[in-house]
Amino acid sequence: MKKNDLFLLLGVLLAAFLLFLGLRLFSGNGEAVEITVTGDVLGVYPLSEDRIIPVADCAEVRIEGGRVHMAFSDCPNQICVRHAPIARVGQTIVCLPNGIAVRILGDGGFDAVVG
Amino acid sequence: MKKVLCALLVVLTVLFCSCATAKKRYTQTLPTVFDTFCELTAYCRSEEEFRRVADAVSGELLRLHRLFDYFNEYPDLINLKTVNETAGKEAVPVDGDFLALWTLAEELYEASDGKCNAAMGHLTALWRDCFEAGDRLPDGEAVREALSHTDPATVRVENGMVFFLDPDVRLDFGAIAKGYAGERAAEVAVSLGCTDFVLNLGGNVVVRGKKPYGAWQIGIENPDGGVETSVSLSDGAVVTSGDYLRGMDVDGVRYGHIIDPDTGSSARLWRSVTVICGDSGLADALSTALFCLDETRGRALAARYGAEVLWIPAHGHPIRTQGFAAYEGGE
Amino acid sequence: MKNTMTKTKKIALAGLLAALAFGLSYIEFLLPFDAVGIPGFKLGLANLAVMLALYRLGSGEAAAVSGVRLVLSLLLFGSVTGFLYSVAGAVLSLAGMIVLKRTNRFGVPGVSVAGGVLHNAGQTLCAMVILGTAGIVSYLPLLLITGAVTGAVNGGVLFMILKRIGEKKHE
Repeated sequence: MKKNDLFLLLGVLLAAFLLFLGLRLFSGNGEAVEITVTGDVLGVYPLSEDRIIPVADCAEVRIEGGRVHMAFSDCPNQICVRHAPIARVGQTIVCLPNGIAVRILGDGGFDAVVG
Repeated sequence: MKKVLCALLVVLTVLFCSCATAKKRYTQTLPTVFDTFCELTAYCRSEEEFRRVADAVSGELLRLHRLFDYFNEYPDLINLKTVNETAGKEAVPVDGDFLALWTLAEELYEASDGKCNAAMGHLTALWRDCFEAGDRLPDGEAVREALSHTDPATVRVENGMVFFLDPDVRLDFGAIAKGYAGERAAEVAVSLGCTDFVLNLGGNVVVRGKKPYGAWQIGIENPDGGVETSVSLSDGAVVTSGDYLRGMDVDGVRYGHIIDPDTGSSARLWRSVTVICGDSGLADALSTALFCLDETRGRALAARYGAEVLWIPAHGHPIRTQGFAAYEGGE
Repeated sequence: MKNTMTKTKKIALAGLLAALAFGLSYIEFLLPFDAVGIPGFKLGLANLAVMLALYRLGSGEAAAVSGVRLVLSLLLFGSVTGFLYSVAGAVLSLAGMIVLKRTNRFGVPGVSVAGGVLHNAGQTLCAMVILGTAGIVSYLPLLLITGAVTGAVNGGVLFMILKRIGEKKHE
């Protein structure tokens, strides 16, 4: 047993801890939002830039401060507009009457989100 | 030594080349059924294999959607609408899936002291009309009248035939059909050799197998935004019932889409209830029943079926069963 | 040729160690570590035999022991995808251990820790490439820690073994 062995062990543990902290800080929140209308991809937009995206004359998606919400929709039930802003990978906002799906893309995150 | 290493190298090269069988991740949006956005994510060996599974799953979901459709009839199919319109007059022969779902509904009616009731179609129809209008409540007299025709005991099922002893009773599988369909569709996928997938029927998730590097991660949304927590799951179902998206506000009061069979009005004990258990149909029925039950009775019901639960109340902190906490973590 | 092994003896010993490595792999295969809840968690028992080869025989023999174990494991209870992860882990792990041993600045436990950590790192990197998602990196911290801990334990065991049977005396 040499002193270096102990240093190596502690070094690895420290590195793992720092990596864990780093990943925790940056993971989870998505990188982009994908908007599809009846299955066809309308576009993919980065979350880093604020943006107003009109969707097929019947709805409006907004990216604000890294979060996405449905600002407007002409659908009767307004479920999509009521949905809180989303930012985590796997989260979606759906407007069934208009066939619009707004989904956060990125690495890691969730395979499905219920709620 | 060199020869051995050379031979080893050759073996390795061959194996590397044959590694085309590694499973890849595929996702596809399925047809909209049960009024929800449906999606299948699976690890398959090829795109063709995934398409085959997705098509079969879509087909099964569509079949069950038609069978349990409250609003429409289809040619050559005796479905829920047919039953509702004719079972008051004569016995109607129904499909095996219809019988299976009714059996589940009857059992859960007993177990939940009537909170999960598939025989209150008149009541849910009254509310559905109001939710669509969005600005009024159903007439009190009409609700009382509807409440007097909600006894599942008046629905006779014998030899594959359904007959209503009370001609004014109506079936509505809205609270349980989605979960049942998810379970059947998952069986179809498994029968085609697909072992690792997530089938998401809008708030109703069935998972099988796992990802190549660990269990599936299912997020559970907080009604106020963001993700409340997440669970790691390999085989089973996660179903959330919530009142915050579907429903309406009248005179500043929130009316969610889940109707308590005892009051005839929106249940408002919880903002959302999430259930994890082995069977998606059971999870769906339980989440609806638990949404109308207080914590004590809810815990007893969940324990009876070995289900794990997360309750998010209107005020205060979320409550969870001990087993639910065991699924959490990783986030 | 005094105090050195004959070539025949070396090959025979390498074969024995390969068999030992394979046996240890089988024992791990039987242990239900999926229950630990850490995907990819392994004790790395087979590395004991590989390191024994590294210290008693040499780098080439260690590589051979490791390679034979991998192929045998694949044939008996592996999937091809799982095999690729194993190869990535084994190659990186062995390379790291050989380098660290040559520096002469680390003892057996240190080399073993490096082996365990690099094995897990190699597997994770391979998974990222094969599955095409960087999200798997989130498992890396935990796998680094488990790799270091199991490596340290294995290293301790090996340290005691080598104290009794001695390191190689040839070359």
